[in-house]
Amino acid sequence: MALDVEQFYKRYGPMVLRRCQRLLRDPERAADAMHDVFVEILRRKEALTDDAPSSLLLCTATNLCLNRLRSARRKPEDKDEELLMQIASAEDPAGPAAARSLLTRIFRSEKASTGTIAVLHLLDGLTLEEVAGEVGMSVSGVRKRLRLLKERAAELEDVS
Amino acid sequence: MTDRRLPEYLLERLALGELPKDAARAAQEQLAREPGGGERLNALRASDAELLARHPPQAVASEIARRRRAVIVQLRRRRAAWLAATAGAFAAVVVAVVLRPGPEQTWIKGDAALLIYRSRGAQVEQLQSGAIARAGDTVQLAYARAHQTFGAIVSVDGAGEVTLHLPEQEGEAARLTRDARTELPHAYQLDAAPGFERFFLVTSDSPFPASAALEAARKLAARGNAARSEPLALPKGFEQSTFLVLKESP
Repeated sequence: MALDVEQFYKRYGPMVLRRCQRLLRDPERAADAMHDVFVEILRRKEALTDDAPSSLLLCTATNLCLNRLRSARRKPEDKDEELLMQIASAEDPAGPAAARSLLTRIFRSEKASTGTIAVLHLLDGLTLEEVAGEVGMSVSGVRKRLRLLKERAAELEDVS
Repeated sequence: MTDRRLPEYLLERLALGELPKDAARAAQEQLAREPGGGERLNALRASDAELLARHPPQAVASEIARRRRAVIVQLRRRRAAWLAATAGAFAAVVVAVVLRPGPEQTWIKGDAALLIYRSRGAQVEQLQSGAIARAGDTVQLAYARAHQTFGAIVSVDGAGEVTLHLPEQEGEAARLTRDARTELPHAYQLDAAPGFERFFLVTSDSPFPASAALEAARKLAARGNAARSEPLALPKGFEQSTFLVLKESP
């Protein structure tokens, strides 16, 4: 798929930048991440087969920002940021003590999109139906994933 | 969910007109119920203009292009660095593997063979074209029975990425070792690109720029799934052999 990067950025760049700013909370880091989101999208531009790529861009930005947060490991300033940091750390198999938390044990055994699902539902406030639509899963699949997550969290809490 | 504020995530997609019809209607209704909801779309548009002014499209597009080039160089370097630690041991084991070009290997023209060995832990095996591999597998490329003097090896993956394996950097095609099996100096780790990775050995009796093979590979890559089976479109005088590695679904 041939892509005019400039036109593509004009349409989607501000949305991606706002997403990165919301998750990273730093204008410079957000701008840096935004560039890399487009690099990543161009690398796998075959995925842009539909005519509504905003969902793919937002999910890619979310994943990328979670990776950046994991590297940064800064002290959360509020509840939302604390949740994000937990989700980010949870997917790091080589992280220090913080990453070996309860959430780490849960997320590491989940599919890669669990981090995005968790952000969409827990931070963005999307309903299960909306999350399902965004990540291309059935509602029951998302519900089951989250239910298992909660059950395992409870089990792990019991043994820890 | 009548009292919740429309999530920013959905607001963005609504503003772009990319929400499915029913979801868009529900989002519009929700915005109408929210205090100041109507203003949120206007605020988003104002933010668009401000951000585009702060990060002009032309400058951003240039920076994206620069980063894309840097990523490709970085990947090549990473592969080279990986070799430093493992190539010696890998090559020693490869020599011990019996050389048996498989019946499924595609020999489009000429008889130079493209050979691929895979290392998983302590095991090294010679792959047949059409073999299934997974992201993280380490493969060593080699060629044998080259009767033409100059050659280049390129690959196309399921994500449309084209990689040059021989020579190491763009420039003139490599001078081949004739009639002997030759391993490339760098082993290569398969990435997570989906579907397949297809390798091409392009040879000629005359010197040629590696970019000729790269360009043909890019054109084929742009044809999507055709890259899995079609030959490279090369001028007269070139020969090619190919090797297909199918990627295991995650």
